Amino acid sequence: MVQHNAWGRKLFIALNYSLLAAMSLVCLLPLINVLAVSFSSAAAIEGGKVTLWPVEFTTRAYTFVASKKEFLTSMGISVQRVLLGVVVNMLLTILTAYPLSKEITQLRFRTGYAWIFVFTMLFSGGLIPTYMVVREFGLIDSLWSLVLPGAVPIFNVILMLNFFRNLPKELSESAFIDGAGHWQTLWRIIVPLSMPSIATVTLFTIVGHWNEWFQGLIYMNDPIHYPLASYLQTIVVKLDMTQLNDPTALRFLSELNDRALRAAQIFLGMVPVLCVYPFLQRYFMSGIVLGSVKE
Amino acid sequence: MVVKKWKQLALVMLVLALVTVTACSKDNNGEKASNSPSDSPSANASASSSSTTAKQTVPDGPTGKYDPPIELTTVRSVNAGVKFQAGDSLDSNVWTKDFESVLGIKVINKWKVSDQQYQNKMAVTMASGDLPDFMLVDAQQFQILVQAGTIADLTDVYAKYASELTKKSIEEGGGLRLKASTVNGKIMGIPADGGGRDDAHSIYIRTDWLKNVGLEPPKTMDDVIKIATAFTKNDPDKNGKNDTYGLSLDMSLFNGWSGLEGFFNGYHAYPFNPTKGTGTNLNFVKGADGKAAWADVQPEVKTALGKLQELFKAGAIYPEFSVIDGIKSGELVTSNKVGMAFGAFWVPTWPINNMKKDLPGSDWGIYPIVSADDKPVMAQSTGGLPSKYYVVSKESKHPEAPFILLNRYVDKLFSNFDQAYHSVDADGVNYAFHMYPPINGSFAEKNQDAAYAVQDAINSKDPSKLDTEQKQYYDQVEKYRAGDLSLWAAEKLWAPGGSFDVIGQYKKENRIFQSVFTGNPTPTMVAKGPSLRDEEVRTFTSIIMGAKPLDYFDEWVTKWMDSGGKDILDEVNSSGQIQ
Amino acid sequence: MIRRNWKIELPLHFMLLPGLILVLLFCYGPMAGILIAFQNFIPVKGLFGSEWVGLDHFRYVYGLPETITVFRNTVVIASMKIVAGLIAPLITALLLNEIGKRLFKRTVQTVIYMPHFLSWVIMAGILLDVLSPTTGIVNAVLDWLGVTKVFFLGNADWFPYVLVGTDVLKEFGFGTIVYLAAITGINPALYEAAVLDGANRWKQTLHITLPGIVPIIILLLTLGLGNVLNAGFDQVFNLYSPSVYSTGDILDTYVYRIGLGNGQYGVATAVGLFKSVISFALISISYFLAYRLANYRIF
Repeated sequence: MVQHNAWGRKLFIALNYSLLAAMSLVCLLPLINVLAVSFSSAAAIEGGKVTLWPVEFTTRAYTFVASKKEFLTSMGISVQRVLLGVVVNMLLTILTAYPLSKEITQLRFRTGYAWIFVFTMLFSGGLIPTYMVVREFGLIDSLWSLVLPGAVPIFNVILMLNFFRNLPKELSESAFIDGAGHWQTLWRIIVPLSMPSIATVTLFTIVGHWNEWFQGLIYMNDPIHYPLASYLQTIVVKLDMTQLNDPTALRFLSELNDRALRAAQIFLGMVPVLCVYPFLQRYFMSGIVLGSVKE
Repeated sequence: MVVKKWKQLALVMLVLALVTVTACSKDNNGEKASNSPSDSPSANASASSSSTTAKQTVPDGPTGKYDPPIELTTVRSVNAGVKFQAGDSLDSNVWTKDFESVLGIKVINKWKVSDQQYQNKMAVTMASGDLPDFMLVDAQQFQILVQAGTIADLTDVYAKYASELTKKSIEEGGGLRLKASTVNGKIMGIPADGGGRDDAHSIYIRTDWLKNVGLEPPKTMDDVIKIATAFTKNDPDKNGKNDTYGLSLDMSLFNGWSGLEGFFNGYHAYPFNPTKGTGTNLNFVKGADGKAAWADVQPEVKTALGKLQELFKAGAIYPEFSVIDGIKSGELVTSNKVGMAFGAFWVPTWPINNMKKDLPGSDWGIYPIVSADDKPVMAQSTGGLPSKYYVVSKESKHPEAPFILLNRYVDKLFSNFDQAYHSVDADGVNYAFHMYPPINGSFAEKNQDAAYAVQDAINSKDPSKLDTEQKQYYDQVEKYRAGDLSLWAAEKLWAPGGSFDVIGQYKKENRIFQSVFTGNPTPTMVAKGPSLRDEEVRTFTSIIMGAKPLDYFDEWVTKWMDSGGKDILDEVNSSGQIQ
Repeated sequence: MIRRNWKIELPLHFMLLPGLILVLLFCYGPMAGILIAFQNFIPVKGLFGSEWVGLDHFRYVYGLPETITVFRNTVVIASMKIVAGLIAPLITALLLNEIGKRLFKRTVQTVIYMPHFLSWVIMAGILLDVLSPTTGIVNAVLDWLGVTKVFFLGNADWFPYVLVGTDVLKEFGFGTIVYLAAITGINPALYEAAVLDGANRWKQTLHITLPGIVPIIILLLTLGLGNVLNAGFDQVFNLYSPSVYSTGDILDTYVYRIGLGNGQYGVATAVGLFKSVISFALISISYFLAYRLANYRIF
């Protein structure tokens, strides 16, 4: 009996390992495919020969990207956007989440405040009115247009406030007994204790800003001000030839249709995020868990 | 303790204040940069009216100079492939400098986006009511702006300020373009394209494949189907694999590349409603009752769809054509998988331009479209009506200024041709200056005339009568014939047997079909066109793929009539713009 | 302990101030635009000069045959995503929990979490290649297995499942981590007791692990309720084509097409408003459900 069980267990473990390995592989395949295309010759790609391994290996696409001004500028803008966005978002997330993590007995109108914020997750004026407001503030074509309209990320606020709420109450209470106010409690006690969840939320913020493409297209007045994601969208997007009747215009466009180049840029666009997240990942276990799980 | 607390509060407030202040200062700068163009003309105007009225000069006709200079705002779409020499940009180049120094017009681009983003960005701009002095819009947006009353009536400024040459470029060929730009007797826009018939389809066939399967160029539609089937089943590329398709097709259904117009025309059907189009640029035919009827619902369309269904079933069409775009269908062709396509004159320049060079032994022939019976075939053209217009904001202080710019443009490129304003080749890169200006005009038959001239010159071996541009084409053809395969496209455009040769035949024999309706999109077309278009694309696609039986066509026709089609027909027939 | 006291409480209100101001400016400010839903909006005339049409747009939308299709698609796709997005990570988490080797466990976690960080723009570009019936890897495998090839992105019957499948592929790693964390939170003493009772791993999973994470399952389900009308704009927008509109077009893509593409701002806003109102009701319900069922306050 025991023998049989042990055997079954072994079989299960073997299956389990292979299944999970297969899952990981499925998640990796797309990435590998892009990488393979980016290192393959144009002829091999056009011939549909590239799947998981470069065919007729060449670094041509990367040398070309390195000299491509649009790509480098937009990457720079994305970096600026992420820096600015993370500072603004995190500051506001913490400042908003902390009071909301208090009970109604400690903060008057708490429920009212909370609903004011949550309401914005559901109702929005839509693209055009938001555009008009952003324009009224003169933010069009500036980095701020990508940061301020979403300055208070409600979802992250909710994550943080749940985490704050589940910190032992005794800590802040004893701080108060020592005469500290809310500001000191927040910065001296709560924030240091919340580093895992702050790291997690920071990562979400970084990735969110890095991948966001729609606002860039709408708010920027010049392609050289696009962040990387918007720029990538314009090169990945399908070209419409229906309305083009000018042979010169067509020739120019066809020169752009280079899949290896596109793949190389897509891959390079993913690299920063792929580099950041394994480092922050170790915080996830403690960070993501909406505290609640542990009671 | 208390002090410390306030210090911290102060710190946080300071940071936030900084955020707001920088945002606001940015705000002011931004406002200045973006608003001054529209403000300063009025500022100029009021300044001049109060103190220096006598000094302000403005053009009193097609030519002249603004002094002091005026600022004119516009918005731009950039063909992502257009290149600039060091120091040049859309904002500063040979044309902007010329406009400023010669005309006293400083053109300011409020925004620039790539071609693909233009429609969306324009939609946002229109909706937020932030119009520049003049701008390029598509036919549907033109209609919306006219109805909203946001754009200026140009009738008087056109009469007074457009030069003779500008008028000729707009009115040539019966004035169809001007008619389309006129709403209720008022000229509301400057047509930006149209007038041409060069979009009529030809058949592009791999000549080496034809030889391999032992067939001749098509004389009838049955031949076309025979070739498509042979290209699918008889291993035309001789690689021993069943991996080829007979007819190129993609999700667009109607397009200058891999479209079906030429195929339908063979069955005397003239449908047109591209998947990515506006859904308002429709073809109408004269019905038996003398009234206009929609071309897409005619029984001939059903016949042709039936043939396509058979071709699909036989494997002659790429099975997933409905999700690939023109780029992808082009890739299939260039990767030696597809041997025949219908397309406009420009197909040799894209996507098959490099095939002869990259794929030794391959070559393409260009043939006129053929008929399914003994009735002569008509090639449809939708290029006669403009699809885009330049419009002028009602708020603009100088509604005549765009015409002054346009006059200069046609003068420099079509009257007193100046190479320095057209293009330059440096370091193997072509800098197309003529694509820089914010407004441009053209002559519809320019390319056709050039092709005739080049063909004459080739036949007589005498290029002396050619103008600068035509001479370029001639030289390219000569270079190709001397062995430079990268110039294959020039041969297939301009030389005898090229695409303009084929289209020229249609024109000479009067075998071009154009819609009988010459008006602008009607209100129902604007409102329901896109969703009706989607339904049509869905219907055609599923019939071709065999997901729906051919008779589903009749069901769709009824449905179309009931969900807005009838209103469209009523509007068209009461428009008074039926040819 | 801490009683209501303005002096102590005041800083809390100050902390909320910056967030409140920004939200008022950039979220509540544009909400005036909702009025467009009741207008025949003409940009030059502005929000207050345009003609009022009452509920005309809503009636128009109600009469359109697309509306029902789009609404049904949205609910079907979103619901399937919510359910599949619960089960797939749950199973993965249980399987991962059985892995002893830390390095392997960590590597798998890192890898399956990765697609979460790729935007749909990029994912779509990749999926178009991978799912192609002629050149795609997936169909090559199907073909090898002797199964008929499937035209995943062009077949209206398949498309919703493709949306769900690819969404799961992108997000299940994220969910897995949440469940793993919950599993870690289960009191180890329970397992020890079970081992003494002679329960094998399977029985432990069934009787301790699963019940232990039921609260979080309920929680995530109720939270998902608020997303029933969010079927994923980015994903659908980058993957769909007219041949799958009948099953793949969702509220958000529909609003985008008629609003920006066709310039029918009023109609687009009306549909958007309709969606917001329903979402609001659903979120409120889920808020109270989560409170009742899981004794959990979302915010």
